[in-house]
Amino acid sequence: MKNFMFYLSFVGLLLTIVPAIAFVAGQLELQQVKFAMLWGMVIWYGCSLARSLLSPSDS
Amino acid sequence: MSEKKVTGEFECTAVPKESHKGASKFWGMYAGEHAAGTEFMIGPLFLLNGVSLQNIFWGLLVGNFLAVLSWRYLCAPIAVGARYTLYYHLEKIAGGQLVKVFNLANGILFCFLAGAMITVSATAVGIPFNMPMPGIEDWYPNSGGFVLIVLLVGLVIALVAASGYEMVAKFANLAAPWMVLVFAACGFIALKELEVGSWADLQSIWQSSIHIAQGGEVSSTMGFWSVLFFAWFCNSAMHVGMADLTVFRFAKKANHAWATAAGMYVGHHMAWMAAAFMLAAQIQSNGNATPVPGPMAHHVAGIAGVICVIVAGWTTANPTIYRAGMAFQAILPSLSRFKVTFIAGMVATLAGLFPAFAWKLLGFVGLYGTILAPMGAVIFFDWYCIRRQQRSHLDQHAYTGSINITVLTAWILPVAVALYCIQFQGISAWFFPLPCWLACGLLYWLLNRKSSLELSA
Repeated sequence: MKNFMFYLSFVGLLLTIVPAIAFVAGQLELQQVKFAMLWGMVIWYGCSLARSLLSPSDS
Repeated sequence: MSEKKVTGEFECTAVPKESHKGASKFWGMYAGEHAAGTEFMIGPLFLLNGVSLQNIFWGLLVGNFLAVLSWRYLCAPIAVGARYTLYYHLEKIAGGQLVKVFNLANGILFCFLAGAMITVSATAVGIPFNMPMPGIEDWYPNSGGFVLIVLLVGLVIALVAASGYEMVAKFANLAAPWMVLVFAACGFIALKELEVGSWADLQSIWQSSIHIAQGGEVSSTMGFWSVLFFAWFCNSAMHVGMADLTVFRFAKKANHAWATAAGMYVGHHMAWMAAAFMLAAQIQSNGNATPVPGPMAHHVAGIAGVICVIVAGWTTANPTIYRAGMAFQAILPSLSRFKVTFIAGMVATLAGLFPAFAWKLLGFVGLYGTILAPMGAVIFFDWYCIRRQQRSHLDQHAYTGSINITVLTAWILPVAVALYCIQFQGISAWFFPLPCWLACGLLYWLLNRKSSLELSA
């Protein structure tokens, strides 16, 4: 479970940067980018929090 | 040397081997600390000062490299050799009372710097409450809402900082990767919004943004050398000033100081440029040249940008307030570190009520480097020329008086000349940390030749 959260947190990071690059390439609208970045943030901090709850000593 | 309380963070003793930390702690901490709230201010202030893009790019590249070398080869070797905090180390050279004076200056200046970071965070927190944002001409709080939000943000930051180094490192490590990517994303989005297709386009839009920001003129008050010296010495109190002895005393090896490159090139290069592009995009979008970080980030990255400004403010303010707390604890050793750090956080919060500290950030960081960094030269010349890199020499031949006049003279003279030049000759403050550092160190060494010969015998 902890490993799953670790890998899922990287999805959060990808959702933060990849849509911005897609916006530069003209593939996404700005509102879509902002929405993706919001979810990226939720996933990143959510997974980090979950990992620390699953194993407080390793956080 | 008076007996002092020894706490779990080794304020008054050398850090033992079992408490040494690996490099990863420092990479995360520096990346987080320098991709931070004030970066949202500094990049845009370059634009408002009319700096050309080439001068920003090359000045930051070279200046940041010199800053990393300063951490690696000036600060870290002494930190892992002595393993004392700046204040405890300096007390053994300068005497208890002089260190208290230095600590007071250090703590107060750190608090003002942290205050600017709290202001930055407050501009983001205030967005959902429609808080009237302070303008570049506002030196005092501009609304009751701004005061309330600064007080709340400051309270939270002070509590986190007071919880200690472990808490600060954990928070910075967690936030850093996401925050760095948000900075990068903001830069990409701003560039796209500027609709640049080539370097020539970018330069043209940059000049146009400066033209609008300066009210129809294009005049530069900073060139390549200004940017280089600013980048090198904006953290001079930390590297050549030796404040980061307090951080690197936990490092296993001096090599860990290369971690500062993460802070310099991610935070002080990429993030400053990204923030400058964000202001340019805002200017081109609505003609507003006020560099208020919250709305700027909201414009390009929405809610994630706003949260990033808040988190960025925290990750800078936390270690800064922590350092200020360490400075004050050296003055008030009977108080717990939690209490003094919390008091430092509250002083920073009061400073954060005044937006002037954020608007005048470039000059302020130059000034605080000019005042604080020279004392690092005393430690450097003392460690290499007098103590011969031996902690035992530092302990056995510690200065036992209250004020070491040699140190006081070596510190005050160059700083007084520099303050005169800054105040009355109008020379930019970021040019003075280097000459003051060299003058202070050489003066101390020359005045101490006799002691040096005694120790080496």
